[in-house]
Amino acid sequence: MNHEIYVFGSICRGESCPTSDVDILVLPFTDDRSKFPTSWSIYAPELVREYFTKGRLFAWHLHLEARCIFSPHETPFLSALGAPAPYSTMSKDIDELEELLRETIHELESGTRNVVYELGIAYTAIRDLAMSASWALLGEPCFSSDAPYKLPDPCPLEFATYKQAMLARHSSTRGIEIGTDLDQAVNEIIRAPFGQWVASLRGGK
Amino acid sequence: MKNTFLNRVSAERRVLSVVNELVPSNQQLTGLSGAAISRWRAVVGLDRTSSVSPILLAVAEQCQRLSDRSNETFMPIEEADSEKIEEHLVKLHRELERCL
Repeated sequence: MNHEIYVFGSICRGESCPTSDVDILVLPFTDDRSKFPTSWSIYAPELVREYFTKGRLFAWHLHLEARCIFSPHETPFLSALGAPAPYSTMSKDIDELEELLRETIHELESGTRNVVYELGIAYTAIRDLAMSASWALLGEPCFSSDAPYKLPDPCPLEFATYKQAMLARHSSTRGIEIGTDLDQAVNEIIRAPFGQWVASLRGGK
Repeated sequence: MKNTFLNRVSAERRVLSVVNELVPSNQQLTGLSGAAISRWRAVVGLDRTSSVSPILLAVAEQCQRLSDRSNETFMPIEEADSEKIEEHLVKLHRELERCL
């Protein structure tokens, strides 16, 4: 058994809710990835090492949250890596996430048939924008799903609508049931002043 | 060049559109996870979707490969081979029109 298994995500932050899942990270030290469920995150250890060296946000996510639950080594791989380099791609990540949010709002404005999917992507983009900006705005990265509401300039969307979008994402990724009356949430997301909000996130750079 | 999560969303959006153009909004396929596909099959009908399901699962796996088997959004850039997705999309469209 030449691999390590970690848990990370909401369960490690004590943020469980009825639609929570368990994020599992596998670091295989051989090429055999096929024996793990497809829903698990599987990364080559050398790729993870590269993320730590380059200071990617995912490296910080793992460094701060991941808990090793199986390792054949005396010192688990992530512990041996130590702290990642400072987060180095915030500006680029914010640009890409803003593009993602803009695209999904465009889809919703255009009357897409993929309403649940697009609401879920809007949630992901908003959450990850906040996670990315938290590095500069909070002095440390915040990986809470509620990160957009923990910033000095919180997300300009009703929290209940944000949570509805989160459930849409959980429908996409976990197959949970979600009502089809989503017009209000769609309209609020279309109308919200995200351009100003993202500009305020960039101000923290 | 876009990061892999953006590539994945673009690909998933195209697949979902092919399906959701053909079903009522209360039967929409909400995502390409195994769980979302199973839920959709239960809503639309297991018999009606039996021949579509393997194609959906195959294209879902292909889309997932665009972001290294993870939902993580902060992934590095990689070249994505979209040819297989295009092949699956053609098959999917043909099969959906036949059985729905």
